[in-house]
Amino acid sequence: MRRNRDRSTKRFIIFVFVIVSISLLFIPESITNNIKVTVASPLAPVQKIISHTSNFFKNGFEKLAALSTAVDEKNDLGKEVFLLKNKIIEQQDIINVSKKKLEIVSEYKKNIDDKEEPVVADIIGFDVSSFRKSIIVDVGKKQGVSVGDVVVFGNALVGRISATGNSSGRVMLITDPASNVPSRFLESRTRGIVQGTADGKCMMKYVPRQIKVDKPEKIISSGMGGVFPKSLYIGNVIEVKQKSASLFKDIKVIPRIDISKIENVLVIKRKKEENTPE
Amino acid sequence: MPWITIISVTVCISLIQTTLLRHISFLGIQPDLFIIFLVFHSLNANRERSFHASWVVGLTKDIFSEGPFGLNTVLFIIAGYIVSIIRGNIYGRHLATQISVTFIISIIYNLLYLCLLSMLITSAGLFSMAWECPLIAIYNSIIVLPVFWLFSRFYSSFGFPSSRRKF
Repeated sequence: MRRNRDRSTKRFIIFVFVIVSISLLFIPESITNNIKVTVASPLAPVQKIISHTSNFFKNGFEKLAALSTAVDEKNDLGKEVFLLKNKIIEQQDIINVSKKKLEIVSEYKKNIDDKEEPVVADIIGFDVSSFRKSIIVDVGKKQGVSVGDVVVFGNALVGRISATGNSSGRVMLITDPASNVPSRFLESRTRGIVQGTADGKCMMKYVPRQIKVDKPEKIISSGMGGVFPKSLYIGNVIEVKQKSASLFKDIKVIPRIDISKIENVLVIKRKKEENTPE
Repeated sequence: MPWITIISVTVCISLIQTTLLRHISFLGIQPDLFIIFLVFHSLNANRERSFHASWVVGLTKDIFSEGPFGLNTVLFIIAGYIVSIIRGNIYGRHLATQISVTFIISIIYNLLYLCLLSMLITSAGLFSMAWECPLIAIYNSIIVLPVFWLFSRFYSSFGFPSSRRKF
């Protein structure tokens, strides 16, 4: 009798666990993101230590490996530098003219950038799933970072903040399947949407079939929708396919930034508007 | 006590998976220690304990992953249940069994995850990623021997029954 009661109690507990697990799928994303980051936050200092230690050893090994090829590389580079110096002198006149134009553009851009405050963040962790692309950084609400802030590296787009804890945050990369970045080609100015494909690359979608696309074409953010600033370098076109009945081209894009090769990123915080209701 | 052990192991796995495993990735593919631990626990524990471990491991993976909260929890419960069903009919101590079960469960889990994810996110590229599923399963199977040994040493050092006896 008692054994039967125990067995039915255990079955009831298992049933409750299964119902709770399934119900977790229906909780809104804003709440689940907060839960995830809050629960994972205590581990952030440990992740930071392990990350820095492993990067230190990895860089050390790479330096040792590079020593053996350093001498030959030095000779080749010396020749290249000599040729390039000659070219620079030829181009000096064009450079001077472009410099003047750049000064005018920079003055204009300075006024737009007044709204943005950058903060440097270390990458302390990566997504544990094979098909999702996100990273964990060591900045959060304490440093003024909020959901939706854009993350860049050297003026190239990396992703945007998808969840923030007290002192850590999660960044959804542009290579994540759920990431959609309004973009355009640098030369032809044709617009499209860059979507991640979970294999470290992206697809540019909704480019009409009649548009001519060359392979090394550069793609930048268009600024449409106001989520991502415009003119951020996204990547380069590596493959263009056209299915016979399709209205749009399939364009494969390799991101400018290889996330496995960098150790920190820049988070562009948006200044809060004055008199914003809380 | 078993809850504390499961949670401790899961936290360690999370730290290793988020920080260190990317250094041994091949073609962007890295092993999934969560799946390996799930198979280890389900082969060595009774159905109830296996369910608890599956739930905790799945929930932890959800916390450290972008995406729908609860998806990995449900999939890990299913995977753990499958292993606990077949556990009685196979010899779980043999290396070949451990490798083949890990391989099969990895493929099932990854394919299910990909299917559910492509329903939730309308992305053209997700089904083309199906080729990664067998590669991930092969990578998991390759590291089964040292990882299983580490887990069994960990359990025995805490005074739990050794891998020779089921717990």
